[in-house]
Amino acid sequence: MKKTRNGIVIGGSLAASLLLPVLIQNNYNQILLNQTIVYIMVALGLNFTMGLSGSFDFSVAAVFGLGSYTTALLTTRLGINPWIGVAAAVCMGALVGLVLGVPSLRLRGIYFVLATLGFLEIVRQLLSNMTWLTGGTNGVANIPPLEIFGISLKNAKVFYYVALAFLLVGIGIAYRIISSKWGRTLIAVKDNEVAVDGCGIDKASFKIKAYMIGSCFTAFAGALNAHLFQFVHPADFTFDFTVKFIMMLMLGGLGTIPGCIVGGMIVTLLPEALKFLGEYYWLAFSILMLVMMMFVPYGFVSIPGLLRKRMKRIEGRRGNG
Amino acid sequence: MQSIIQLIINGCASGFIYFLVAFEITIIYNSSGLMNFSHEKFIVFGAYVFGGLFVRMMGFGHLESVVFTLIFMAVFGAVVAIGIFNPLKNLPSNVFAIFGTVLLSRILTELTRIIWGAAPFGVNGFLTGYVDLGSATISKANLCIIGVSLVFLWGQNLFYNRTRLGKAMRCVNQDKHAAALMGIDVKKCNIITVAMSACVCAIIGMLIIPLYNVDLSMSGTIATKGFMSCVVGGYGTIPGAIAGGLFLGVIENLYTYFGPAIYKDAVSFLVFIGFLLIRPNGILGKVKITRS
Repeated sequence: MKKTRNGIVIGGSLAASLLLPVLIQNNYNQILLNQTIVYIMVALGLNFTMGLSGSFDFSVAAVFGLGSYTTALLTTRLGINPWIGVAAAVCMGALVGLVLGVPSLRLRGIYFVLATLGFLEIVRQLLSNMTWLTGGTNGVANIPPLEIFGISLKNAKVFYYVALAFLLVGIGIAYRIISSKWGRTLIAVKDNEVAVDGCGIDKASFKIKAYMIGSCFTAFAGALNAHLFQFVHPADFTFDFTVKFIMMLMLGGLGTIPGCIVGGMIVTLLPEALKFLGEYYWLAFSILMLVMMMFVPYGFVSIPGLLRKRMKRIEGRRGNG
Repeated sequence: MQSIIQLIINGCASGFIYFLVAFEITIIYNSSGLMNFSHEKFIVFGAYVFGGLFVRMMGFGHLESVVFTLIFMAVFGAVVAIGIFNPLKNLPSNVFAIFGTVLLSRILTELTRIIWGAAPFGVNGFLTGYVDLGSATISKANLCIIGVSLVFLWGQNLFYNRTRLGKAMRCVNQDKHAAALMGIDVKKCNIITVAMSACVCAIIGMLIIPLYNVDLSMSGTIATKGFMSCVVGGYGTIPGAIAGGLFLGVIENLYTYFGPAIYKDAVSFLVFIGFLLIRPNGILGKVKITRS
């Protein structure tokens, strides 16, 4: 019963995502949709550190930015094939994960949060100040679009399908990792560190690997984003950009893959629907989010479960009375 | 030589600012175990309340405005503690608590932007000018930062060691359950701590107005450096906050003698990572570290 229902949900959303571009005529909406896919990928990556191993991560914007800049600089300055640029960006993500994770994730407590926060600030400053390398606040323009089998991804619809394919692969990888022994260890680390220690598991190495994989996802999404817009600018990669992705996880549901997808769609598309609020939009949204977090901390995905529990309790009461 | 003296004095000034930031982080962390990521916006908010509300809108003099700002921020801190920080502590994971403070910082930014607008402004004649000390010229703002911080240092020492309330707060830092058993109102201590921390934020905000103007992003780097100096000195201790703040401030200002100033922040980040790798319990080495 449950399996067929899950099958229907998955099949339905897959069909919807495949058909959506056919219904959209407007190029702006199509690009918005592409961006949603890219952002969902970042949310998937962030989910490894925040959702699974439970360590708070502020460095998303920095890793995203470094991924964008890696491919942007390689393709514009050295004229390298964009796909190699994307691959280099992924390597960059892994490198950042290693360099930042090894000193800070070996210590218990607040050190990882602070290291990622500092890293975010430094990367933003270096990107806008190292003019000889990054072009400073002018950004990098004219990044060549990706190309697959001779078809240029400059067309937003083609880009959509390729990105969707990547996203599906990403979801597959994330799902395999979460349901493997490895992912379960990570969840155990979040729930009870002492018990994991007692089982003789080296949890630092697990956390570092999780952070590395998450950074790879994020850097990959950053590279795609750079090729989608063909322009990168250092002022995009701020603290607020990070907060956006954390919001996705919190809104959708921490630690679950459907949560990442739902949250990613809400946070990217909702501003378009709520444009009438004007400058009060972020204020209203943040207050709503804070209230929601206090009452439904595990996000939208957890609501059906909560409702079911409540229904059961009411039924149980009726049965007893 | 002359410029080195000047750099050291300027370094001390920024070091004392980092110390103040580290101090307000430390007292909140000690009393409630919460990391306040909205402190950056507390600083901005304090500066806006001083410059925007009291000086510009109501037209008070500088001194009265300072006093009113401190009272305003204390009330504000107490409200935040009761309304947001206390409920946040009861959530299932500390990820939620951290994110709650991040959201609070967003709310504060938007509020300030809507009330006072996005354009930065200065406060005329507030701590401007230079003082010639013979071998070095120092801006009045920096001198004022050093002076206020020294007074503050002395005051907090007196408060934590001599007064009944301060002693009670130190008890809460050490062991919340034992303190509650001894008849100390832990909740009240938390509220007062957050109010105090908001006041310190307002002081920082007012002190850095001459350096950065009143701007929505005036405290970004300072707030991050405050966290770093907490770690460099030893996270969660007040002597650590002093040592870390001064160390970081002087190092990064001395660096500008040897290399281009744009890498100043990168240098302090490297120092921070170095400490994480080699000596995570800080310069003073008083913090217990659990490795995982």
